[in-house]
Amino acid sequence: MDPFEVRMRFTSLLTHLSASHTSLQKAAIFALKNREMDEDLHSCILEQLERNSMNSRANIMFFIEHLCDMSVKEGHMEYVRMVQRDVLRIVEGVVGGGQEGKANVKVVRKVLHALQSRSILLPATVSELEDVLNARDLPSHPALSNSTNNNNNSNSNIKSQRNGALRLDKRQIEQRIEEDRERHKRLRESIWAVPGEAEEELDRLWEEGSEIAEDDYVAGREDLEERRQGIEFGVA
Amino acid sequence: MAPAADERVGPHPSYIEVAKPYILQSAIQKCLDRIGMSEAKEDNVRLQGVTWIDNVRRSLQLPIRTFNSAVIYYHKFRLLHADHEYSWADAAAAALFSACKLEDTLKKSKEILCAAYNLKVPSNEHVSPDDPRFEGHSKMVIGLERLMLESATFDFRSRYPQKLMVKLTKASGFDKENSGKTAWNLSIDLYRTFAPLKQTTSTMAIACLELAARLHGMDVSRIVDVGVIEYKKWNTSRAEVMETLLDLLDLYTHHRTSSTVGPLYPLDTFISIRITLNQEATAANLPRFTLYASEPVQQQMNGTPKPRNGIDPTSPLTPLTPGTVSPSQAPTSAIGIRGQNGTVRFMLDPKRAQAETKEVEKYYKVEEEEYEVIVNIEPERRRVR
Repeated sequence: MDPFEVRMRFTSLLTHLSASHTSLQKAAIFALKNREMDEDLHSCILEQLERNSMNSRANIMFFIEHLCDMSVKEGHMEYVRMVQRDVLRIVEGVVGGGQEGKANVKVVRKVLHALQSRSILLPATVSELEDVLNARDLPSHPALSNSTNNNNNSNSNIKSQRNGALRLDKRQIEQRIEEDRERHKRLRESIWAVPGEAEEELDRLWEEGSEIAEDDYVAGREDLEERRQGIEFGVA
Repeated sequence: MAPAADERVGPHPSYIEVAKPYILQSAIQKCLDRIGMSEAKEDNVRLQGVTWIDNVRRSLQLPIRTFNSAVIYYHKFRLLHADHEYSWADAAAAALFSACKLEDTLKKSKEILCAAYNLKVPSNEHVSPDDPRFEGHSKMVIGLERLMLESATFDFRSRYPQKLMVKLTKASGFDKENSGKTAWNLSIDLYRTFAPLKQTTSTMAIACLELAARLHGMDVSRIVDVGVIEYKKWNTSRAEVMETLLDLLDLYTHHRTSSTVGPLYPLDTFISIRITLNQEATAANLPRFTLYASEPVQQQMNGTPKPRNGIDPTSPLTPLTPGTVSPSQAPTSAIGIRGQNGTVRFMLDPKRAQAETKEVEKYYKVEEEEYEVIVNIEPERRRVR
């Protein structure tokens, strides 16, 4: 595929991202497959971040997390380096755009912390970015705001602003609710997920396992009874 | 002439399939003979399948209990279906798929197939699960799922020996990084044998623990039927633990390289442990395999048996069928096929099944009696009739 086509395909993958793990995986695989064009594809990401809907931008943020994970696994660190370099721009892109962007603040925080826990971002960087996010958070939702004085006058203005924005974005909000639901479902799945090396599961059982207790003995007795029955009634 | 007997055509008594949470060695052997699986072929399919399941479940980050259940499904399925009807990789995928549902670690069939595929190709050729190449295979796997459940007679009880084993190893002072880790890996290897079909959770946990202790040169007098591991407490016996230990050692002496722990020790280590255990078993007259109540107790020699877990030197080495056999449809169910003549019912309680069969038989068994009647021969009368 020629470079132009690659860019086109990638942009299309980005704009069609959803909460489903498969769509994220597909885009990440594509990015790594065409790793010779990593600079180009990275600029695609930045581009799309600055022009798409609020939901899309949230999905792209999650995609970036997934891309960094896969890159580390494959040992191709270019994407990670570029994300580290441009992280401020990425954050601004995702939460920018007025009222809409605010919904993405949580998303950004989540991804930033995930990247920090994987040592892709330094704690110092993350706390700086937190400050940026907080600065953006200040003209907050009237219901959450504690200071009633300031808001009383500007309340009506904010309300009408919000209503206007809300009406336009109803479908987006519904879509966002669906996608969040999907993501929560996937998060719950990872409760049982164990990294490939079985050592981790052994460690977990070793540390967190309870002491031998009565119910273990009871289970043993029940097993014995079941097996005895099988022996008595079974035929070769 | 009117029909002789009073032929009452009632409802078909139906076929009762009883759940078998434990299947002993003799039954396993009979099943395999019945479907014509030679020992060498069966070993091959078993080891490849279990390794496949282990590799794919690690790549999908599935916990070990899913692995346990998947392997049980895989074994039980293969006891009833001849191997030319399906490819073992499909069966392994279907087993893993069913196990994921059972253990509440859901994965789509396409995700499983995709993970298996990605393991075999370099990373720049990796695909995502919605790639169309998995479409047909996915349907096959879902079709096989039904047969998996039937082969397991819809018995959803599962065993999780690792949990108990970790508790016991901790309590016995094992070192997590060395002997503890070995015991863990032994428990994975244990599923490459038929032991999980035959033994209870405690037997399996204790056997793994003991073998790990022996491999690390620990003092076995402190763990064989003493203290925390007193056999009575755990409702097991030396015979059963011995059977399991020997099953494991069969695996290591004949298929060392196909196992997890095998390659870490030289063959001699396993052979010498085996010799020690054989001596103990012969001295204590322990039977090699647990027998059913209905089986006669034969004198079982420990040195010369025909262990299913090893290579039988007398069986002709049939050329292995190539693994690319993939029939377009799922194999016909060995159990469900009877459903064409009557209903097949699956029961969990063998006592109840036996009582019901006895009761129903009374109505279906035709009782014939023979007795002699002395008849005066009167030729003319006979002709008129």
